[in-house]
Amino acid sequence: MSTRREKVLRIASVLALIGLALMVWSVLSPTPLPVLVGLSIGQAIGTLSFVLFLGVVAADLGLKQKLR
Amino acid sequence: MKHFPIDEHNLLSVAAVVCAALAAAILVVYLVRRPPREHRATKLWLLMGLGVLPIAAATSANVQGYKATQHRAFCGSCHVMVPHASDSDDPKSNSLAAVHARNPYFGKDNCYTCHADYGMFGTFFSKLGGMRHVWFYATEFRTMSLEEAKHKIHLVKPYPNANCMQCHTTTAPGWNKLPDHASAKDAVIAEKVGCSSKGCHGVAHPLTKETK
Repeated sequence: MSTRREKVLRIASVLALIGLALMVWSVLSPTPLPVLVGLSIGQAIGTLSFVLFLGVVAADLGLKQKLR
Repeated sequence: MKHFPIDEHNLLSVAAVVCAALAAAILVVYLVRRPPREHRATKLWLLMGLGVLPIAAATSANVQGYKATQHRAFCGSCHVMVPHASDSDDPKSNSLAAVHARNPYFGKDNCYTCHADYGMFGTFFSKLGGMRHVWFYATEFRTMSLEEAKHKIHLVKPYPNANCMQCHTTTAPGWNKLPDHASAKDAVIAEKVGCSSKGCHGVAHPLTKETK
């Protein structure tokens, strides 16, 4: 279980790096394609990574409660 | 499409890049070192790297992206808009667009200032219209030569006088003093006569065409 959650965190980290790269691309090259991609796909990927992180945190908290 | 550098004074751009770089550094360190997940410090660092800093970067990038879409350089980055943008850049041009571009109120945002619809939801509908332009550009005009595009591209609807009247109010005494204005006032307000039509102030751009 722990290994699976760590894998989810690693996937979230990679997704966040991709999302951040797209967002920075839109800032450094403010033309239609980068702005559209960065502010839609980039932020969707970033949001997904944060949701994955929150999911792991919630799962960890639930595990602790069961142990108590 | 031509690219242009970020404004050196633009703090939003710098903030977005710095936040993204800090978040990326945290995430790379996490991926390389793989610290134990159970440690509170690991979760706090990940909260910064996956939550706080990316949200700050996204917020800055959103505002910056929104502002970028209002610049003439953004509009002119599609090749079919280059003649219009170049005309506005030309200090010797006497077209309505160029004359307005030399006014500091319009300046480098003159495309957006004139073309954004007036009203409570004007910004929203203007952005929606912009998305339609992007769609048409991606699906039809991206690979089309400028010469061909000049003949194919047409306005979807006549340019609304209401946009001109945001500044040039028809209630000002100076406006009404002109006989042509006074006689055409009702038609102008009813959008039956265009301010930028050939009989009045002339076309706004050198390549302006009538609506299809």
